[in-house]
Amino acid sequence: MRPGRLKFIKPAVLIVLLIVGVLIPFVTESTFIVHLLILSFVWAMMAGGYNLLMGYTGLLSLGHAAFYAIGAYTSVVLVKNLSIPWPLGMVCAGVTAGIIAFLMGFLVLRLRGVYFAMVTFGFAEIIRLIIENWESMTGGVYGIIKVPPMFSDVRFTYVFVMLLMVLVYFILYRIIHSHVGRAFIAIREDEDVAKSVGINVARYKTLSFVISAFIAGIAGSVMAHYFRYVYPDWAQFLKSADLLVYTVVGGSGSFIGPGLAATFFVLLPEFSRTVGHYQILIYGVILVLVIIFIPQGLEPIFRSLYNGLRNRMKRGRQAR
Amino acid sequence: MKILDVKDMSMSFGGLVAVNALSFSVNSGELIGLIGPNGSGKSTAINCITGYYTPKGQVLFKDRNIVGLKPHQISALGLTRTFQLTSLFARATVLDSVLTGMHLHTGENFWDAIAYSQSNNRKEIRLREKAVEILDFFGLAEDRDRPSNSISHFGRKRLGLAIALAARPEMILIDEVVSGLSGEEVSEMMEVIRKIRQTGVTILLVEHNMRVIMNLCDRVIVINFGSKIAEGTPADVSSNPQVQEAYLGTGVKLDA
Repeated sequence: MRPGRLKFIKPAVLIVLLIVGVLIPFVTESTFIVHLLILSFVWAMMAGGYNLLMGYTGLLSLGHAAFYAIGAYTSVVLVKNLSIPWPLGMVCAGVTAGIIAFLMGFLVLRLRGVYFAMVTFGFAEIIRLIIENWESMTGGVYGIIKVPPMFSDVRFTYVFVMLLMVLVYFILYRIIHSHVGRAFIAIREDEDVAKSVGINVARYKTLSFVISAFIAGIAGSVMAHYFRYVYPDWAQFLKSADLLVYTVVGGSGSFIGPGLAATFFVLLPEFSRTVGHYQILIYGVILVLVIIFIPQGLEPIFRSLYNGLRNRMKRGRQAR
Repeated sequence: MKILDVKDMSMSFGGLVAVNALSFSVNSGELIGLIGPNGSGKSTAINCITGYYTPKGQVLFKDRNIVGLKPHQISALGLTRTFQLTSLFARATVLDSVLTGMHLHTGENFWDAIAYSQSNNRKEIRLREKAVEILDFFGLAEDRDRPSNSISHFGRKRLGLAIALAARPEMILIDEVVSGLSGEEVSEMMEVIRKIRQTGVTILLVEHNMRVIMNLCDRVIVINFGSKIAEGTPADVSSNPQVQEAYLGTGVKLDA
């Protein structure tokens, strides 16, 4: 077995996908498709980070949108008020979210299971209330509008966000397939056994929390500069619940599943707009069906589809 | 030379005294048995020595008091344990479980893990080779890519040892490693423990199975109600009337 290589998708396939992906906005007339793809890339990126925490380390956070909002506001406030360039704002967004996660980790990561989840839930509500009430800095409930954009041409934004997502997944892949990732999985499986082989459980939990918060912070910054506004609602529970749903439906602890599920769920409401408020109902039904019938999530199904396709192509080649 | 020296170790939960002023020592290279009836405090003693509980008294490992240290710190000093449970890293593969056991010896920091370089890849490959050697040692090579909860009970028991040994301890505390095994498997497991001993690792065997204790141990420590009631060679303790009474009730003879 060769470590450090994508097992699920071969590098050649990956490069082809990348090139096709980069070309999409330059061949399609539809800015709507480009818009949807940007959204799905951002959410796929966040789902990847959330999956590292929930799927691999086994920590259930119900307040991850807080880091998304912290990232968005940090970046917006810095770029708008101090006129720093947005890429620097983006890095500051990730770092701020990471630092807050680190401080929080000190306090709450000794809690197990449901207690940790409840604290993260409360934390996100506190962050939302702070944002709503710190009007001089955040604009209160009205949020901040006229945020400086990333690129004047949305196609460049698209390419940037796509490459950023690929970079995030590359880093996540490296982490998961290293001793760090193995420590995360060991903590998820059995903390006591993990300790017995010298894994500093508190430190690795904090690390996982910080990495996933960092990614959420970056995602928040990207979203704010793309939409050119930011609201306190970005920290609300429903956004955190979205991440949880993507991860569970895609396959918690599977590498590619949560990202694909995020893409699917971002596209779904856009295509089912005609049903109006029943969107949320559809959403709920899908979640319930997945939990009952395929508790491992959709990843095994994606995998067998991909393998089936590959085998068929191989056979096709041999027949010729 | 003493590698482990337990001095007046006590642990109580509320009013219940689980370990009561327990003292014993283990010399480097020895294979010591720790026995006692159910509820006699064996597991609590192990948890105290390895940092899962914080007892009163002293536990000296290589002349250093380790009371108050965290389990991962104690493991890093070279004292590792196994667990009675067989779930371990249930959803990780057998190979990954052993790689996890080698956590202290990966020679990588966090940034190495992310950075994609030839030397890091080579490191990871060497690590895997080492892990496969360990699997061979425990007869688990064929199961390497299976999830650890899908292999046999006997396999999981050996995997538990493999994970602990992967941490390269100087001393290992083995907690009831033959429970639930068939007679033949018990014999095989005894071979495995002998092999571990030959590598120079000091072993403290916490065990119920008298055949294992009588055949393997240099010396046996018997505890009951959290206190030591006897210590000596397997033959000595098995003929000790106090031990017989504590362990099996009155009027029963222990035989090896």
